[in-house]
Amino acid sequence: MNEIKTNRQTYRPIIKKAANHIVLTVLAFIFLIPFLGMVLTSLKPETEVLLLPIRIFGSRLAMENYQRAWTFFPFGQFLFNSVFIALCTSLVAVITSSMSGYAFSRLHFRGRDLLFTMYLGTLMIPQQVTVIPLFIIMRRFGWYDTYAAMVLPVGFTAFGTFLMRQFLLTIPYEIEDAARIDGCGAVESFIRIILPMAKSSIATLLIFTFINSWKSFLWPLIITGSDRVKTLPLGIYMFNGQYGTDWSGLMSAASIAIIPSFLVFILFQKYLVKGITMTGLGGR
Amino acid sequence: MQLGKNQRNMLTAVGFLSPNIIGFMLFTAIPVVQSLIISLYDWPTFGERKFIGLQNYIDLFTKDPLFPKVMGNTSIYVFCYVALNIVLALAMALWLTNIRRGEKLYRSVFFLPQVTPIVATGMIWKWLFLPKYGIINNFLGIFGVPDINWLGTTGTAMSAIIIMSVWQGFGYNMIIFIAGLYAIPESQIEAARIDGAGKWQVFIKIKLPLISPSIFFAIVMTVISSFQVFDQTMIMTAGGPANATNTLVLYLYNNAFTYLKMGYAAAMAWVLFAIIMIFTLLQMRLQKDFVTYE
Amino acid sequence: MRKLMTTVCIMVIATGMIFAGGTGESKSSTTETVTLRWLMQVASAEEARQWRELAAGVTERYPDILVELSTTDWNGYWTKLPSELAGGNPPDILYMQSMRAKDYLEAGFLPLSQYVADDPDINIADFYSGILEGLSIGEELYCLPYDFGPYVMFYNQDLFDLYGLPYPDTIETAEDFEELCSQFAGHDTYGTVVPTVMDKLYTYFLGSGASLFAADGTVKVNDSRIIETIEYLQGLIDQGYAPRISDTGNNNWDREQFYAGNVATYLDGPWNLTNIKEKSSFAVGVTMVPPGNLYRRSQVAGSGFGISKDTDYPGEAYLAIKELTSKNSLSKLAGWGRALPARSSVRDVYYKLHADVNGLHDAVEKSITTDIGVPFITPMKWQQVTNTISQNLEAIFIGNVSARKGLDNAQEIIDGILGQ
Repeated sequence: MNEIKTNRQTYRPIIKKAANHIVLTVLAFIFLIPFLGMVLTSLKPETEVLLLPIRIFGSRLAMENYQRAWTFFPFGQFLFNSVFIALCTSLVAVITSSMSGYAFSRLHFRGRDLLFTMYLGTLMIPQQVTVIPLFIIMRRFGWYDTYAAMVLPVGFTAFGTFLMRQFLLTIPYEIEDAARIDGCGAVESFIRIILPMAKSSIATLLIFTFINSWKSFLWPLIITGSDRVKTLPLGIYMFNGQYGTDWSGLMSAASIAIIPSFLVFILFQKYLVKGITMTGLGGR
Repeated sequence: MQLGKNQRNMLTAVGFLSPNIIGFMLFTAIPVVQSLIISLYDWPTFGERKFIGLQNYIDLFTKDPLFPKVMGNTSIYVFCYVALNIVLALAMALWLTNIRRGEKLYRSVFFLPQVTPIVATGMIWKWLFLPKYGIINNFLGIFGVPDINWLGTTGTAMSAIIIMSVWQGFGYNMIIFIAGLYAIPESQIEAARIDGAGKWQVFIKIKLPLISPSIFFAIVMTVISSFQVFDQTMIMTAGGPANATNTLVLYLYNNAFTYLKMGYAAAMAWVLFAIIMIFTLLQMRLQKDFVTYE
Repeated sequence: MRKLMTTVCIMVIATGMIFAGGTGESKSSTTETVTLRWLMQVASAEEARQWRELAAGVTERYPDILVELSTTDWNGYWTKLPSELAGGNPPDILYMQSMRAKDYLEAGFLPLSQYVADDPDINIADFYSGILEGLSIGEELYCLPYDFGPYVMFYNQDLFDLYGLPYPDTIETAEDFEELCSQFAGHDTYGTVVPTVMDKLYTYFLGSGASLFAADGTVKVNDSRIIETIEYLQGLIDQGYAPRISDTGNNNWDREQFYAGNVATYLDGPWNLTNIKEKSSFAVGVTMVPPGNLYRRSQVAGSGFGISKDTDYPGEAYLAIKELTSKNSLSKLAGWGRALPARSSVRDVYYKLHADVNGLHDAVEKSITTDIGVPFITPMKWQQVTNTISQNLEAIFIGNVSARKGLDNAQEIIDGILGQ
């Protein structure tokens, strides 16, 4: 009897673990169906995409779709623009938002909450009505069809400020107080104490800003003219014609377009780990 | 020169804020204020404009038969989407932070829809929802559910869009919650465990309060962004069938860019602003009771 | 932390360096050369290349005019164009479609009548008059057309062969057509497909003798003849002769049903023929549209190029669009299969290219005769009106409301829109 009991005790966690993984894997698979659908469609010949009933595979592997996607618009140029613009935007966002987030969360000054509510307020106006006024400002600056216009208006973000503020609020005050007693100024404590502790939130902000910039369509559509600074979404939408969509070409372009942004996610998600610096310092 | 404490605080704050605030004023605040001015005009997207005071707002509430409809649709979407999104994201975040191996792989999979262009996945979802041939109907058919024309029926189109949106969007909040959960000092959880708290109690007493700022952030942001739902309804149904999925920002977009009535669209944007603001202030009020900051 | 920031910085710098090497852009424009910007919607790389070739043709003809093409997708064009016009300094040459023209021309485009009157060699009579009318406001012309077309009926020959049916060249009445459609029902195939978009249904209304547009710019959609027509179309769907709409978000839903090969016939313009060939794997034939209750009528639409009102170089822009719509350019377009040319002198090029398509020449030529072809000239605010009608038609075709009730509802909203 005793033996069986011990067996049960040793096996239970393993069974539980296995069950966990099986359920998660099934969930993940269901989750991936639309994604798989996209990749499979990208491999079907153009004339077979719309056939009903839907087939999983085409009559042959239509790699020419990828070639069409690659030559449809200057793919390399657009890809580079997308990466460059998204990186610059993230950089601007991380630097400015972590600073303003710090001010809104840990500094006390008059009008703080009002100003913050204003910041939040601008998020509530849909961009569909602000793009044209912004477009006119950009024209005044002579920034039409430039990288500056693609990066800067998106980089100074109220969203990032809000995100950083919320995260910085969770850092225990005792840590900073201790530093202040040691004679650290606000600047020093921000750089030496707060920023290292906010690593995971900075990574989160970076991922989000990168992906938002990566996916953005309306603003790039309006502010670009030539192919020089256009980004991938503009290219992908090009498959949408007046008389129908080149679905297999579109899915091919989309499948390629995922790779860089997904890489950025993979690369920076490793910072989404348990904060080591925090252990041992109990909050209140 | 000696500065008072308040002045010194102000100076530090200005230093920290100025990089963001300059760009913010220029690229965000000015266009936002301009849109408010536009809303007071009969402002065609291009061409002659005329000041008409609050007429756009009055028309919106008294003359436009579609406006109450899109408001209703938007409210349903916001309510269902926010609830499903937050619950699912929180559940998955808790689950994934508790398993030891493969956690990064799973969270990548659940985040993948976020980085996938919605023009592509939107079409795939349409195929999944197809009557007779779609996977979803075939699956439900096993349980004897009759064939549903999901996107072609007024009663089901919105649910289809919500399902698709949750699939697409919950990875975002999941990441926020994971980041929040990882910021919880291990020592606190350990201490609670030693005191004999079970998993559920640890969640309620330790984790939930400590990630409440993240939850607050996620809810506020999800409410704001779901009130502005556009891509999903534009690509999946364009507001159809029979306006069953026409949402506020889609209608606004049509007014601004297709019907060329920018003034009217701007008025709609400010009504939306008022609604979201009320919700957000309400949430900020509530956070005083429920959100624990260090 | 430092590592994280360093990674980002390195990535930015690295990509930036590629960029610095990549753009050696030099604008070697002399003072005499005028550069015109041309905004155009395109659907493929091939198409963009073809338009660039026409742009080069402008420079060939007028060496001091340079035309720079910038492209967007179809839907993007209708977001970009209003933004450009709103922002000031829009591109000089713009694309315009007859069905959307009214809301754009007066406020955004340069009137051309004077230029045309002063131009001895444009030969304006060579253009199909209906499409000139579609791109005018009153007597004032705003664009020079490059393509046009009457609605015709495309049919899937393979499907007709499969069912052993004769090709639909002999349809004389609406009942004949319904009878034909019934032949395909019940085997996962359909006789036809019914769109919910007004721009594609106008032909049916013309056939019933109803006039949708009154002279005073109002729209009457709940006319009893229109209701009858809608009931007829609703019947086609309810009897399973036409598929029920499952995708309102796709304005090419009806076309894609046909490309998929499950639908035997559908109505569209000759501009789509090249596309059908590319996207489908069956042989396609063309015949005239089926008649309605009273007549056989075919709506005629098309597109052209105009000049933005605020351009700095109106004279040069006029020369440019004149060249883009010249005989030479249009016969090139026709040869590429891009368009049925708006100039009658070069239409044969198009027919020759598509000589393999059964019935194309006769169907098009008969449909544009004055007793059958009716220019589809829309009133102001048409986009909002047509969307309103579409949304109500969806409700009708789903079966939520009767045709009468749905159209009455649409009428009420339309009166509100046009009354403003």
